[in-house]
Amino acid sequence: MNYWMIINIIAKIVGVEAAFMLPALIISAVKGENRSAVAFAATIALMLIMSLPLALMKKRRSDFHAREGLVTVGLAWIVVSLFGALPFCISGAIPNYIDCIFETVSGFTTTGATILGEIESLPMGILYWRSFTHWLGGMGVLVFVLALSPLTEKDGGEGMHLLRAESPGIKISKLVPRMKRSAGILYTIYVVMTVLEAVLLIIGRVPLFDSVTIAFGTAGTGGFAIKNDSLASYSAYTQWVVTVFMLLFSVNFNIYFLLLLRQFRKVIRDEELRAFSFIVVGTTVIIAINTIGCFDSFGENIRHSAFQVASIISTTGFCTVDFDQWPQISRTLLVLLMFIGACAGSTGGGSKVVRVVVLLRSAKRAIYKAFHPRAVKMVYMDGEILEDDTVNAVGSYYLIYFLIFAITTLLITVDGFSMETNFTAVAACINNVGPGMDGVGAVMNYGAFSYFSKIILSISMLIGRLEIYPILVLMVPQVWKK
Amino acid sequence: MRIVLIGGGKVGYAIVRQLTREGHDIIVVDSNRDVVEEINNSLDVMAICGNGADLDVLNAAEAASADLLIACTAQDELNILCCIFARKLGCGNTIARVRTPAYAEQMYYLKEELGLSMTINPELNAAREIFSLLEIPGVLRRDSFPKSRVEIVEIEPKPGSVLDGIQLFEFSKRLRCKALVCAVKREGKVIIPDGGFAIRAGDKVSICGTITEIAKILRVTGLNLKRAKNVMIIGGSKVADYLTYLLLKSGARVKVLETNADKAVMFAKKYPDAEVVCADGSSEEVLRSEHADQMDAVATLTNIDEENLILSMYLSHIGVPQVITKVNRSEYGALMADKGVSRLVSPKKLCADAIVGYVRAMQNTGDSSVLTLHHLVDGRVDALEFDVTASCRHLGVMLKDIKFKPNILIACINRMGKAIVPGGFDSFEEGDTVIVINSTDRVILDLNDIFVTEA
Repeated sequence: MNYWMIINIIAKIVGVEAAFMLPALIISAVKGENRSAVAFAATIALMLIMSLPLALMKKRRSDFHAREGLVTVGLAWIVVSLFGALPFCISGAIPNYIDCIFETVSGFTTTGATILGEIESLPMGILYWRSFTHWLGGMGVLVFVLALSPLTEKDGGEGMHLLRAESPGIKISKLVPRMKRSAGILYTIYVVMTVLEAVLLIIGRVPLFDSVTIAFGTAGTGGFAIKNDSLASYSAYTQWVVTVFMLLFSVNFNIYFLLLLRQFRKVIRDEELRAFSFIVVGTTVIIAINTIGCFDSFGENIRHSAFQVASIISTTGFCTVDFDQWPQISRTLLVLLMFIGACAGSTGGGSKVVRVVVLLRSAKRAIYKAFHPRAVKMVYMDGEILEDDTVNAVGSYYLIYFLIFAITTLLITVDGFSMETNFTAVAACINNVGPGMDGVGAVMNYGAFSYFSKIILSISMLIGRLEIYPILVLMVPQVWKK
Repeated sequence: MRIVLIGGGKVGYAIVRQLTREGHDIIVVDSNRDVVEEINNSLDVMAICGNGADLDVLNAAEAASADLLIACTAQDELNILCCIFARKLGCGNTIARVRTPAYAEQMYYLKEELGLSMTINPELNAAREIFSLLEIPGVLRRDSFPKSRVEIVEIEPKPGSVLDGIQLFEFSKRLRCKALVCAVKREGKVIIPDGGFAIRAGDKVSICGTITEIAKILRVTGLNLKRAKNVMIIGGSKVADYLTYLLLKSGARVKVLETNADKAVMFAKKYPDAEVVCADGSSEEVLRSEHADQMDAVATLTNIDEENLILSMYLSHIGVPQVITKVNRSEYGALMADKGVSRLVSPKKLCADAIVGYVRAMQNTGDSSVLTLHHLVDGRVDALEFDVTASCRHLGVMLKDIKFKPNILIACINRMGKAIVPGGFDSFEEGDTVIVINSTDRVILDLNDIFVTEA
């Protein structure tokens, strides 16, 4: 194992994180929030002292394989979260470090699950950093480093392994031959869409700070809001804008690239996009009808159900109402949406629409084969045959996914909460959604869990965001052997 | 530049690897899904699965807007077809790998008729390289620069030879020859030397000069100069075919060992002057009965690298003066050097060099582009041949007054057909041809790239 390269790359990422913490420091300083300004300054200094010497070291060995890629990504996310949690702790905003880690992991993995009951009284610098972790985690810290650093100037093998380990979906597809340019294009689309949303919100008379933090929360499909009641107190216009952007950010970014290239036919024929649209429209209609009577007008029904469906399927986790009070059909549908999640190649979490589609198609094939054993049938996706390897990989993904789900749920039962609370808490964490039902419902938070459960849930958030393997390999002893 | 490459086999992979290093955007097309997967995993390029002569696939690879299309699948006909379609789609430059001996002879017409920019024939290139090595037995490698009419050869001075311990500033005087040492490989390190550098026995020394001057050096250093008259070829591959043709033409006696009876018969029919033996060349018994030890030279050209390497080790052990080994995986070459197998020829590497040279010439918008490119000493040093044109920034200035980038060496200036070993008082003149030595980590496209730019 090439420990040197792993440490070097992680050091570079920590350096980038330090740079991204500067705006939070500036906001704190300008607003006169001395304690948080000191906290940010101290954290940035610590990160730079620890990372710079390691990042600037000369290259010694350059062999870098799939194993190194997975380990680097897994470790990088953990290290970034541990450093990112420091400002909360030092500033005293969240006194306990484990709570800080939960909050930061929740931020970087774009989960949006919080342990805080009272948010509005936090300093602005802290609130900014809390929301910004979503934006940084949404597209992936490593993708950003790839886009910037000369990491992959020569062969690019190491960059490939990193990208593969960090980006969601059943297979990675680059937009253009060069990975660096691909990463650059992705980030440009990401930045432009984030700015667009913030501008639209400002036009809707949302204060600047609120607009920016909401845009961060939406872009990363995170869900941290700066109000205790999430987005309930904003205007209907604001809620519609956020609804649309939550959906936009949960679409595969390749689609936008195709739009830029004017390949509309390919966009329309994209099967994942079709399935995604179908699920969104279908569940919105069902929930809107199911919640008749909960609101004053049917228009409001549509708005709230569309917002909540978009929020859950994109795995953002903003709320406009306490959907925990809705009828059972709606509640159950929302929990099911958590498991589906967004499209591959987006910033959203969940198990991804494309996997669900492949799983259903291979299930269909299995049933067909049951009564027609000699049949030779292929699984198709976007008009192309999916190799059995890919189909099997989806199957084993779900197997491990539910295994981890079961173990995690079992582990957190030690706190003695109801089954619904535990089940939806794990579902909301592993799928990076945020709010669950009952004890972790829309108006509740994760503060009541024990520190043990908080650590378990933090790990499950990382597992969900990185699609299992990068975190799981860290626990396999063979990986660490020479 | 945007380049589409069809066929990600051994040659294709070597080309892609080289070209990605030079910063090009490459889309690879291959019909084998595993190959596509492997390339996607290991190189920073986009790989597509499909038939390169299928218009849908070519469109998916955006061949229409590509600057260059290189077809190097195993089938010549498919390669030609790919190039024709790519041209129809609007791709301006196409390169096809064509290696069947029968087609090679009519290549000129094919190129003209089909509008190919270039055809590459790795096997023919390899045969030419082997042939040129056989001409001068003492050298490990020979790279020629046709326009300047000079060559760069690699030799390894033996302990006690004149070269052992010689300092470079006294090199020409002591050896009474006009040649320049342009790169030295010592203990795995590559050095572009200056005047104070002293050669030691065991170094691999690359020397640039005309062939007569180099012959002088070889003579005084006591290296073998006798052209091989009796050559044995083991394995009746395509390289063997081309090589037999070249050798017979030069008047050498050729003995070919081929295991496959049909192939052996074909060979005998095609080259009645060659002695063809249908026997397993990898068996010691056969080699002895065919008097391998009395040959001037043996070339091991079977299709299996391992067999070639082992055979070559055995042959140099029994005292064959010249052994040349064909390998496809040149990575292992370094391992074999001290086992008596130091003269390796790799078709795919030669081919990649030729294409990289072509691409660099395409890339250059100026008028003095790369004429010839060779990678010396394990591909860590480039030797580039340029025309000096009016656009050269330091025309007529003495070399000692020009600021060059670090690790740049002017190995030779050819003026009116005469090769000059450049010293501080020489200068670039319009119409010259120069050879520049450069370390590979920097890409040089134009002659002006070697000068330090004044702020």
